[in-house]
Amino acid sequence: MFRKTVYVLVSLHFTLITLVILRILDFDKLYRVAEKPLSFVTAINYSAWRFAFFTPDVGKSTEVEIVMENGQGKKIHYSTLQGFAFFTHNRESANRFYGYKVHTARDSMFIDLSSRSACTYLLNEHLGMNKIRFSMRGIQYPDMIDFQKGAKVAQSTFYDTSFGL
Amino acid sequence: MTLFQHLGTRFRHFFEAPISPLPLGIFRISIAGFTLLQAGLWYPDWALFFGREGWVQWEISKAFNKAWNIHLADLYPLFESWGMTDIQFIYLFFWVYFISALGLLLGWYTRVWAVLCWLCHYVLMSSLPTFVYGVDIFLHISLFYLLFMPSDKVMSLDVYFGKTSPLPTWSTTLAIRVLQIHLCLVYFSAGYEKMLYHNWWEGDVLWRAVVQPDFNQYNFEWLAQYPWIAVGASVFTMVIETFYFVGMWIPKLRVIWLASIIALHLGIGLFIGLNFFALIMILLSVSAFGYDAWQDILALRPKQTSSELLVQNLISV
Repeated sequence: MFRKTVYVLVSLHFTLITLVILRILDFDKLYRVAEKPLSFVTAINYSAWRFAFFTPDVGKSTEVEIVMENGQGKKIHYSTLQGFAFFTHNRESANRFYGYKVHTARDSMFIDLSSRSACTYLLNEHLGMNKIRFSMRGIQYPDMIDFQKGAKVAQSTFYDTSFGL
Repeated sequence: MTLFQHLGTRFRHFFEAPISPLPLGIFRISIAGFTLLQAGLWYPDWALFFGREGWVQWEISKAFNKAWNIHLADLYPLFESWGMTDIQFIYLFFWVYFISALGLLLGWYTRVWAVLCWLCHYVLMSSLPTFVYGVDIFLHISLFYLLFMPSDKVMSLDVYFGKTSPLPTWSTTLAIRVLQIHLCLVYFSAGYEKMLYHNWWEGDVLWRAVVQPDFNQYNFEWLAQYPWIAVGASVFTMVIETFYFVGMWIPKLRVIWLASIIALHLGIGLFIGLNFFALIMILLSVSAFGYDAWQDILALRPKQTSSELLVQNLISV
């Protein structure tokens, strides 16, 4: 009986994985219908997860630029294009901000909340600064053929906000 | 014997015939070791990621969480009543996570530590959903499997102290097969999805990945002059990933396939800088198929004839 139960659970586990990754079940529709159980399963063991969801995005990049001022001419400037790694101590921690940027760029409400959160963090780290500007720019490299022909890297600001104390 | 009976026998043999539990021991030690290494590197940035006033404050990360997921903010009130600050609490949590991974590595009360380690990882994943990427997902899957798999049957203190029998059972084989099948599905999915995008066939996704500022480790802009290299590397990636489920089950191909998948992930680590993602994927493939590949290599050695064995025995006498 125990062995049969194990086989049933393993079969259900792999059936769910297969249906989701092969897109036999439309993940988005499925998620709308059964969001709670699927989110729960995902949190437990990621069996309802499209592993290659990242595939089309791997070439996309985002610049985060932060400028702080104290109102008396002192400025602090951070840009991820100039090596700013969010005060992390190693490459592994810095890599996590790639996912952070992708997540925030996708959700207009989240981008607003997370940028405020980041600004609060930065103003706490830099006492004396009272104005902050937080910008995010999408960076898109051309394809190889166009790059050979001299096409430039496209940059477009998709989020920009300022706060003052 | 009917076809049905024959298939039933083959099925039972594949999933239940006792095989060495060594791959499960390698899996447990690899994953626990990986968890310790990752946690060690995370330590200097722990408050930055998990602190109440970190990059994403608790109120915000909690607002974007599902109601039933356990966030650090849900646990803190239990400790706050004992006078603990939020910073003390997150570092206490770190040490519980670290020690549980150490217990799992040593294989002492393995299941207990496996449950605690998975639970801690679950809370961590729920507490920073925006910073999660592939490495965390595969670590979480691995820790989930370690809850159930008899990974304590080899290279563990449980065996040393006689708490667990080292003898393989049907569950040992089933556990190894589950890990192998899961990896086949994951790689098939990763390869097949890439094949759906024309940018992958043209090598442009790979080119952008190595030149874009988030990932670039070296200046790869010269690659645009030789697009065939990017196309070749893309096709190699798609073939190796999609047909992983074929290559890993054919003894003559398995060693080549395993070496190719290791080379692929070394490339990801070296050229895109996703070192930990590369490492966990290598560890998973080695855990699942490394033992079989090693047996394949041993089988390639020329077999000694009985007269050669006799001569060897005489010399040794």
